[in-house]
Amino acid sequence: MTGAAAGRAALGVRLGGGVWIFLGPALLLMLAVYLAPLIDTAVISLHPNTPAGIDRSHWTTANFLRLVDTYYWGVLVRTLRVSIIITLLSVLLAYPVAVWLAGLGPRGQTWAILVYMSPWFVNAVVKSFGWTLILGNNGLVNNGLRALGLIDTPLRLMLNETGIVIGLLPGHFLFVLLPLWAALKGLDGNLRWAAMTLGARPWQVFLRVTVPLTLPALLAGAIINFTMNMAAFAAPALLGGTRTRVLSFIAYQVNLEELNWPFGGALAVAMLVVTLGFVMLAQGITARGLAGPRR
Amino acid sequence: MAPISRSALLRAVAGAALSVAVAGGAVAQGASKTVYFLTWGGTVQQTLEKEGWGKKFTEATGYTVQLVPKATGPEIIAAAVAQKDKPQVDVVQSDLLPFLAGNDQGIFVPLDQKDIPNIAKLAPVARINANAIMTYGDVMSIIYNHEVFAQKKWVEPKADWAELMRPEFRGSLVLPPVNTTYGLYVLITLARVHGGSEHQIGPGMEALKKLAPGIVEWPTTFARMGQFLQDGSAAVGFYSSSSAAEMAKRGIPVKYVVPKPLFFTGTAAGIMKNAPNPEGAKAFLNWWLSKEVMSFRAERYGNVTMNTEVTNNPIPVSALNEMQRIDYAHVNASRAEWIKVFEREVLPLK
Repeated sequence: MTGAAAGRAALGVRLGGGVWIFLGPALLLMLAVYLAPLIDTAVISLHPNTPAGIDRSHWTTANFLRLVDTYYWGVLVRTLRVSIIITLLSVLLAYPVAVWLAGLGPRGQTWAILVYMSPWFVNAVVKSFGWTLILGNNGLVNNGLRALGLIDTPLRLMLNETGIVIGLLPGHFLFVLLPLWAALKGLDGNLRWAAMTLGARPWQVFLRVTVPLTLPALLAGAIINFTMNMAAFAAPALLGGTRTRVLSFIAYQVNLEELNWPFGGALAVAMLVVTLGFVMLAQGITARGLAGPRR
Repeated sequence: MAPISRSALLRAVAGAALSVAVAGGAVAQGASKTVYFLTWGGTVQQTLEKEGWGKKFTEATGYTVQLVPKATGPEIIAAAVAQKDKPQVDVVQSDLLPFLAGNDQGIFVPLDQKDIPNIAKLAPVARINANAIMTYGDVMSIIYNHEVFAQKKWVEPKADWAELMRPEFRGSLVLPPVNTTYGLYVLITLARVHGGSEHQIGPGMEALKKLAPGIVEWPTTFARMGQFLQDGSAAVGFYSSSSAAEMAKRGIPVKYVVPKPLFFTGTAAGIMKNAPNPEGAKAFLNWWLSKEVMSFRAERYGNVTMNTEVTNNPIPVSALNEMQRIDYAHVNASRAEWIKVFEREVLPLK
């Protein structure tokens, strides 16, 4: 049975041509509220900005040329660096947690997943304010370390890239953990037994059986994690501060504070292209991994 | 699971669509009595919703006011510009500077004293141009955490802008960044302190560069500045005096001084071109400018209101005649360049 046919069977409906009636609303909604503004943003980015607004009678590439200016280039590199660090940390941390989770009983798994989901029960802004109470110069960590006599001057744990990583990691970690956990749960235990009966040590079983078989799930999770890091707004704004701006914040600032939509459009397009580029790269790696499994 | 028949599903979908359409129609019908007011949340929301002035407006005019709140002046104007072609709001109020930038984009209509009689009661300084009037304003102040001052045995700041440069404040300052309205005021203030002006911004930028390494953070909003002053990670800030008073009311251990020459920050209001409810808009603006509402704003929030009948202004409107004027058109035209210098030469920690 193909995937689509299986999906229809699961729904319990024979749709035939009527499929468009059901797909239609969502498709129209996506076209109207997502694709149309996105295309308009791209078009606007090719017009000059004037004090009287967007000048749609002229075309220009100046907005894109401004992107290679050292300031904006620096912001782009910072955004990528922070996003990649969070994704790498999430991947490193996710394996042991997922292996542990998959070994728990059903009830234990439910509760543990709930714990890992808990950062999402709190609004991003409230969460970031919470972090400032912990990470600030007079926060929990610095006061604790000072009381213990370990430091004299406070550690800079926020208003820099460290703050952004600490603020985003707990929430975004979940998106690597969940697919990995599902893949590990679905893994046929016999494969591991088979490997061990053929003389593989536990670390060899992990590296040569478990990792290759769960790699697509890991990469899928990492891609979601990475795109979320790239687009994150509240935590970088509050925990990174004015000196550590990321691309999403600069796009907001240019659009909503400087009222320069054409340049804001160019920033948005650049962000989309860079993020999509990384996603496609990761998908390419996955596809290659699936086509030629390690032997 | 038993298969669902196609016709049953279609009926359900059609029914849901119909009920949404009916509900939408009902909302549209009630709209003519509603005036949409695009401005800040914060104290305006408190005034209209919590302190009962929205209800008083309905009693006085028969219209209902619906607040459309944004966080900052530029955001308010960005929202107004975004709906230029098909406005959904009637009255817009923001900081004067972004308001003027919006006016350049032709989004407001001329205000006629015949329709809005309370305009006649405004001080001359409040009549900005045909499309814009000032409702009220604030004077800028130096805000400081008096507990930190006592602890460090610092002398409390004098009413002098040069106090911002005191060397012991290094590592304890919070200033709004130049890409916000108040940040522009910091820049202009520091330029004036050092012999420059908005027409000669160099000395201001040099002063900011000197201060930059000792600045804890450049907060963009009142709430954020309050947070740094509250937890003691900063001790001295620059913001409007009414915001400083509001911080103190919320239990943050701050006091403020209003240095001379007064630095006035105006709040402007106007009516959207092609507003959905132009009559309601005029009624609202007239009511908003009335002695009753403006007296309340002066009393509760320390606003310097522009209605000359108001007797409880924290500073008499006549005092504003002595303040230094700002060439707003020049500031708006120079903003982008100043922000560029600020982001590259002042902001980065070296």
